Amino acid sequence: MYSFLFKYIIIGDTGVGKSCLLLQFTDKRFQPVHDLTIGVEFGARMITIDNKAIKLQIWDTAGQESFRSITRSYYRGSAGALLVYDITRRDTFNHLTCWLKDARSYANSNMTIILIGNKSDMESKRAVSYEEGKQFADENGLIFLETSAKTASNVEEAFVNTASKIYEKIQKGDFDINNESFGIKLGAPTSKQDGTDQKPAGGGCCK
Amino acid sequence: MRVLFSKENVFVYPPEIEKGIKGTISLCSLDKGSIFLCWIPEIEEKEEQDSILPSSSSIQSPNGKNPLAASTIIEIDDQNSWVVRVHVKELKSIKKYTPNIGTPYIIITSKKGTAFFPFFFEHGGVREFLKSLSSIIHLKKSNLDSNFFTVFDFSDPVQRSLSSMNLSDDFFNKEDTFSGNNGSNSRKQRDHYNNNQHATPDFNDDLTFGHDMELHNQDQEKEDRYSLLSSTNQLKKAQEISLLTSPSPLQSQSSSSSSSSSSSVVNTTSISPTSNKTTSSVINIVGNNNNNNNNNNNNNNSNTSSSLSKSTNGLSFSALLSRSSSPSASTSPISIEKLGNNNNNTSNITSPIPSPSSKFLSASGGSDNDNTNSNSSNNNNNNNNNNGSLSTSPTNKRALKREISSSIFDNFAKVTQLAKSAQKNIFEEPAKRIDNHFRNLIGSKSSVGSSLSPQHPNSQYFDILNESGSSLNASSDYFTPFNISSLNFSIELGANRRECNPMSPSEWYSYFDDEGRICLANQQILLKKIFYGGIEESIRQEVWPFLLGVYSFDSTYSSREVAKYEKTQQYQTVKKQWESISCEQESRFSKYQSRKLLIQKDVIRTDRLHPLFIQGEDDIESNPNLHLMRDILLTYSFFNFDIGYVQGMSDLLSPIISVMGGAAKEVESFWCFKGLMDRLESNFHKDQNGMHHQLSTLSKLLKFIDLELFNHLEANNGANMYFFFQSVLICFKREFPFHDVLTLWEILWSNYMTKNLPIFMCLSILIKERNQILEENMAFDQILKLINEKANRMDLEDILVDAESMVRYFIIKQMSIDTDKSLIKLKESISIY
Repeated sequence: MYSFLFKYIIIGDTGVGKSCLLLQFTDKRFQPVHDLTIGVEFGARMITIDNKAIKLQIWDTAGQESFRSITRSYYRGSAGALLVYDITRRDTFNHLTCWLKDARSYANSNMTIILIGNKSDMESKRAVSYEEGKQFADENGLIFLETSAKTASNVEEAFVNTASKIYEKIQKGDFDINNESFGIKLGAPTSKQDGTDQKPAGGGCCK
Repeated sequence: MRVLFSKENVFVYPPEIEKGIKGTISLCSLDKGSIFLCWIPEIEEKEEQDSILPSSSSIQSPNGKNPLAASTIIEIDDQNSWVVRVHVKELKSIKKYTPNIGTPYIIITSKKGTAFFPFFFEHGGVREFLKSLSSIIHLKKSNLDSNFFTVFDFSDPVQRSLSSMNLSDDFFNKEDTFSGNNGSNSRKQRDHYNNNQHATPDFNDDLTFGHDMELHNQDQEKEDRYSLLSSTNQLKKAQEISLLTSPSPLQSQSSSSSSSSSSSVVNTTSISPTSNKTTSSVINIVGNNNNNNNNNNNNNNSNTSSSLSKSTNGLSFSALLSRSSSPSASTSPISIEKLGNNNNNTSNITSPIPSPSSKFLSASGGSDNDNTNSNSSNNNNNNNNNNGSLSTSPTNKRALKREISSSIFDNFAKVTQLAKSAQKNIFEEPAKRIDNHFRNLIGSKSSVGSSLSPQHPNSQYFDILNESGSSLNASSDYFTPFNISSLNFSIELGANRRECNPMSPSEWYSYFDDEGRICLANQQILLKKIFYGGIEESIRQEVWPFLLGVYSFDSTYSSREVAKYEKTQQYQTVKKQWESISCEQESRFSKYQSRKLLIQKDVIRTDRLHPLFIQGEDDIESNPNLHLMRDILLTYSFFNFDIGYVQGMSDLLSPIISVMGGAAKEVESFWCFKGLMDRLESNFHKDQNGMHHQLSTLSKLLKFIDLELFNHLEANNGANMYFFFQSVLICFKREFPFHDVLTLWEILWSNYMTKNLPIFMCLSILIKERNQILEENMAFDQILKLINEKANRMDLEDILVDAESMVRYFIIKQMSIDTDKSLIKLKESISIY
């Protein structure tokens, strides 16, 4: 049972840790090596905001450019996007503009985007400073967090903060909630969507 | 004797003689202008045959009668040879097969219904043969199949008038021209039969090819029973008739008077006392089969076209196996050998202990019950032999049929596969007829679902069948495929798979000739074998390079050595291209740098739990197999620079490395990988055109086959079929356990039937979930989740069987004029041989 269902999409270059972030969020565990994602995988978890149960349904997409034409189709119908880069790899940060452009053109305009600099545990190999990340986020109107899927640092916050933001927008009336193309669904007592249970429900991302 | 045409090097492949028999086919004019089609084996082969053959007793029938000996048209030579001699007037049809690869061959059917062994024209000559033949008799090319020729007999007024009316082929096929002594009488009967058939279409409603039903003028010789058994579309009839002619006394007496026409027809089957014997033999075949295959078949309800044609092929061979030392000696088919004591088995298994399937059978058989009884009632003569155990209930009839099919397939499976499927084709191809059959099946059996016992494992399908049957009536569309896959084809196809063991080393080596080639005919057998059974683990390493085009089948041992050397050189050359890039160069070659990085990153993320690819440290160098994978991928990215490296390739490579045996086989692994990439290259194009094309074909296919499900997906943004992206991209690598993937891939590479099997696999996976998708009104994301979660929980065999039945259903389902071009292309790309 949930009051709202939000759909997320996780995007970013290959190997930045998208699947690991999802696994950490849904299963609260870390896998140093994760199967590379092909196409799209899936995870879900319940969170609580303002005493309301909110189900997050998360699409984890493949990062390689070749698959872009497929993953683009998942932008539509997403309420939130996690745009991830790897703080130890400069090029993943450099590609952000490109990702953002994609997101802006294929997603609905009200999509909430959070920029995530992942692998914050690897400070010694850092190639992108926190400030740079923050600045890019501010310039583009994104939320910003540095996370570590390995230590779970800020992972919960990344997903929850995004949900709070979306929830705020709903309160402000930015969305037509009955229009599912915004990636938001109202929970109904008789809803058929309650197949997943309260806690770590997904795991769809790991095989 | 004058020889009009002669062609050497024409082979037949009787089941016992693996090497086949070489011979000469000829058209000879004997006395008084009668022309015979002859096939005479080469003399020096004879002794060898005798030694190869099983002991003669195994093919001698116990009853000491040679069913064929009395025939005037087929002469089985007295001298233990395999001569075939047929008067050309006794030919009924000829089907020509000229496969793109493989030996062309023809299948000849006589008017008595005997199908001869396929004649393989090892050195060509089919066309000349047909040309010569058509100069002697009138051959009419079928409208439905340009490779199918009906022999025209203008002495027959019925055929002549039909000809002038230009009716369809199957009508002609059905027409049994009889130019014998009692022509007028038999023709009358035949006409009666035709009338009857048209007046009461239900008569045929459990026959696979209802309209092909053909009754013979049985008041000839007793061998007609065998002729009946021999011809593909006549086997059913043989069963029908034999069963019809053997009802319990009670049944036959109690039934009401039937139409005179049908009675006259059926009576022809049971005129002389000798025919009784034969009839019981037929039934005994059934009993025996039942005995063998009861386990397999109890849950099966298949009485499909394919199963029947399979079995008939087996029988047709057995009919020709007859070899006699004297015309009167017993030389009956193998099948007869098994006769004699199985009546009881049949009844024990099928009627007193009704299995779920027999419940279904009896329920579904209801509609032809009346016909059965009315026909059988006219055959009092025949009751004596059957001691009432075979009461010809519809239950039995159906059960028997299906058991016939499997068992005979079992018996003849190995050697006769090629020819069998070929002959099957004759009757499978006219899609219209099959479709009609299914229509009948649906239309007339609407009571099936409701009368099923609730515990029947398949009852849900019958319910569906039932529903779709009624909607079918309304929409005049066909039923949706799950019915097919559940009820008809897949059971039979499943038997195929179950009974086909993985190819063993000894079998594999047996395909090679002295110089190391595999001839075209063997290739076809080999590929079909692989399609149904896969390959034994120990020889994968040797077979895969052939399947992946590293070596061609017609290369010799020595030419392969040469090729191996050249390929090694070529690989080393390409490999050096990137190996020789210095660090300094690399630092100014960002494209190479990032490609290399990506490959290294992905290699350790591929099958990381497989023992071969477990990495020690976070380093590729710690495991030689990972190192090898990196090297091959990097070399390939130089070999095919346009594609470079795309994620998914490592998934394609790891099974190859595991099969080829690691670092020692680096070169061969590379070329195998290259061969696989040749098949799948378009999947990895930057614009993804290959993927989009396949997924959109899948989408159209679904629309064509299951409109309701398609409409649901379309309404939920799912018509793009993206949930099968991963499956299609890497050929189900992640959808099945590793060892299953190896089997699946070699099955796909056999290219048997279609190169597009993955699409049909997707289709069957989706359709398996159709009920849940529709009932729960699933949205796109839910379907994606559903499909994703099925990974590693599917039974490969199950999916393959379903996929094959989908292919077959797709083939026979008629397309409308506005059918999408890509589907027509898809259809054209499928060849069922």
